[in-house]
Amino acid sequence: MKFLFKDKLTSMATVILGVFIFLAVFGPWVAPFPKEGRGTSHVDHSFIGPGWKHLLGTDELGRDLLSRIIFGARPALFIALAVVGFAAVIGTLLGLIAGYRGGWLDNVIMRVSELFLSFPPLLLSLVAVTFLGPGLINALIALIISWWPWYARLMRVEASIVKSKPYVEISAAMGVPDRIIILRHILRNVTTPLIVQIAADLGTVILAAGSLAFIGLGAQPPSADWGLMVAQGRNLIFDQWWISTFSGLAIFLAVLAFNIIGDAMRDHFDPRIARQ
Amino acid sequence: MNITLKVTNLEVDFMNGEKVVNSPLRGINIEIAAGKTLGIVGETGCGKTLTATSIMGLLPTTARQSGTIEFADHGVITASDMSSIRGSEIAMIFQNPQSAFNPIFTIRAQLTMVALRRNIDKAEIPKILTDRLEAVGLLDSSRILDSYPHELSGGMLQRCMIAMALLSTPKLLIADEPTTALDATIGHQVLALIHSLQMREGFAMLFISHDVSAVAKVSDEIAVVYAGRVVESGPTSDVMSNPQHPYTRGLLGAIPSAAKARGALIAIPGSVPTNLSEVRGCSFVDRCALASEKCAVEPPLVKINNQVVACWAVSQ
Amino acid sequence: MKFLRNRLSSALLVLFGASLITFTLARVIPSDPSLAYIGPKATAAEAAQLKITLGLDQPIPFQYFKYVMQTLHGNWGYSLSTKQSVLTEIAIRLPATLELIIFAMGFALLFGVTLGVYAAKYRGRFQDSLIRILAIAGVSMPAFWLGLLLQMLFAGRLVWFPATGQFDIELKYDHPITKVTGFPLFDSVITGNYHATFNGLHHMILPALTLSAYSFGLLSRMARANLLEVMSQDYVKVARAYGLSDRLIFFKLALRNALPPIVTVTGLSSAYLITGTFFVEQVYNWPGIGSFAVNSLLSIDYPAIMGITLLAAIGYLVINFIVDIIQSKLDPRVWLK
Repeated sequence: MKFLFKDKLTSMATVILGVFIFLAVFGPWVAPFPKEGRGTSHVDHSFIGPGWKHLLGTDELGRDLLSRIIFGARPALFIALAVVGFAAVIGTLLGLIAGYRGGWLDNVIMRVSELFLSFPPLLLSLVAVTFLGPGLINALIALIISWWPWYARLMRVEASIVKSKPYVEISAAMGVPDRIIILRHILRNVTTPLIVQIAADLGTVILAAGSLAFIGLGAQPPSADWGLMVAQGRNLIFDQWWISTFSGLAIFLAVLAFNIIGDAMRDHFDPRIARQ
Repeated sequence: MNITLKVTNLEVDFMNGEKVVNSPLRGINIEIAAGKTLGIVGETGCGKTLTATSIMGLLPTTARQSGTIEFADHGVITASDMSSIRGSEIAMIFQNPQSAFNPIFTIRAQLTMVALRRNIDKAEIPKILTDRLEAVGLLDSSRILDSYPHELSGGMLQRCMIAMALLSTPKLLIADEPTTALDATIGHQVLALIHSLQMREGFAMLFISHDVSAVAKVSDEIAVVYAGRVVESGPTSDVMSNPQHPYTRGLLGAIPSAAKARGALIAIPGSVPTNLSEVRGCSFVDRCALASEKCAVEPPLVKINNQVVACWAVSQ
Repeated sequence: MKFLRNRLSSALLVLFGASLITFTLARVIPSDPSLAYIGPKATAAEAAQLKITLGLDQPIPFQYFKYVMQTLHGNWGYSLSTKQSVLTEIAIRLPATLELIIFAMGFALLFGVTLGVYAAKYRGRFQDSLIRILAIAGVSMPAFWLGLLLQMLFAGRLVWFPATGQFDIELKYDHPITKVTGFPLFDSVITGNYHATFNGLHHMILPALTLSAYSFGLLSRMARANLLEVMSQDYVKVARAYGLSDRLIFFKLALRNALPPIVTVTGLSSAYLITGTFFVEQVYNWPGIGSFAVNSLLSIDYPAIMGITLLAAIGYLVINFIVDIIQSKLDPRVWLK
């Protein structure tokens, strides 16, 4: 865990991540204007610039921007964890089955994953969410559809390598079910690349979800989704610049933190590619 | 007598800022006469290759070097002087020919680059390349020149490297484990080749290897290195028949030969200490059968007949 | 030649797969495309009639087969919103997007590789850290946010660049561009219409920079890591032992050796360039495929969506194919496959 503070940049990222998680959990209690954060509007307060009362200003419906951004942490973290979680689980299951069973099932699963992977990434999610209809849950599903293939491929490779190792046969001869051996050994081998990829993916998913919301295919109003908020302030960027600027800044900082920490994890767990 | 290379008290420390992290070389003293071969022998990690790197002036910036290196008629030279001499008057061949060549350039391209560095006239280069390749036994020179490194075998690549080193005759050739990565038969051929080339062209050679028998075959003199110090040196025949230092004796006892095959191979128990900067006194003391209280102080190099040895037990 | 055959067949498979996925998503997931076509006020009878006209009452595999046949014959359907042929819409908009992508890739390569090499040279020092921060920032920034920021700063506050559009509106009247290839910027250069060229470049800079940010991040990190690895290789050590000058080693040898992975990353990052145009063109009002794509998605114009998906897949394949060819020229070991 020490590597999380190994240099100034990584420490800063860890702090940002800590703040992000804190806000996601305790946001409603910390926000200065919680009702507005949830969505209550005060149209007579709209378009106030950053100042003492409203640190980041108010948006077009008079809601305190800081509170809105704080409330946005929860959906952002939720979508990141949910997408990566489901994608990893589904991908892992499919990959393990493919690698272990082999045969036509293996072929099918692998062809499909490769197909998905040869697409420009965001495109699949965009198309999927278009046909599913806008909304946070649909965006979630669409993103999961795009994300599972990588995990499937990783697990499948590991499974097929381990499956043919001698100690599996030996243990099977001794009565231990080979499934358990394979699982244990695979998990041991695969933990490092898996962790590193998950850390990086969390950031990428937040970026993707924000992009979907910006276009209008993700979370819908009055949700405090950051991408949505950037879109809402889009046409006001020249005068009421704070709306889009600070909402986008939130996305940027969250993704940045995940990416930096993902880097630190990779350097820490896999010194082979350490650049120092 | 013409001395091509004389290294006196070469020491190398690896630094982290001002702190000494390790001292891999703690006193190298060698001398090579013109046209002669000095073999450096010792186990992996004793500092043989580092000696070569220091002589060439190619130490990383984190290393600190002391001691003197005198080369031919240049007298005492520093690392920066070396950068102009490197490649022309001193040439080096390396252990692993596959990784020593750049994979994306042809052999011809790489040899040409070196030839240009040696100020060989551009027009002459093609002929010289062919000549040199044939001199190292590669008769199919045009095919080989047009090949990429991964298309050639280890033995062929090593010959190419020798050709590259000898594009113009250097004053000193440093051969760092040239046969270690090759099959035994190929290795012998390459060894014989190097030896005959030396006879013909008359360069001095520093031959480095952990394989004592190989070193003995080509060297006029041998220096035995242990833990970064030369512990014994002298004419090959003398050292081989009459080893003085306990380490040398153990080393020679470890040479497989038909006669010894009936008995067990004598391995020297123990291993080289890891952090040499912390060693006080003789570094071999933990593995030495002749150790005594005197060994708490570093033994100096003392002349015994034709040899030089650093050992209290032997030098009385 | 076998190499080419393999590539072509896998490329075709990908294209089929792409169209199949999109097609499946469109049909299997409940959302009635015919409604979008005729509007919500249509009666049930009209809707039913439309279904038959559009062939939506046929069994799905049959529909897919028909779709594939039509596509191969050049009939990519008609956009539900503009009523024009999808291929026409694409053809009109493609040049603008291609020019944008080319410039963005150019920026990414130029800045990315240069800074990456620079960072490798000064490894461990503050220049290295600074560039590393820039690179990570590049891959972390939402493209639409960066676009808005740049717009606000350099077109709003400091009026250095125009905020939107491909050219000034007046250009159509003052210095109209004669159409030669269909690529406006290129045409303006070859017809000597330098007013238009300058104007076009002026408009191009902010969007291209925005689009290049992600690829820049990827490339600079790759360039740095790769160069460092190359410099630590044995053959570099050997080259120095042979007295080759540091300059020669760095520029001729190391860079050449470090090139292949950089080329690969360029190919991979083109995927981000393609989807990035969706957002960048929105923000800057760029008349290209990206903004057309977003509109099609929002209006569930599924012939257009199918067309764009196919186009994106083709584009990505072509780029990677070119990358592979360049790769084989650069690295003789590749042929050994």
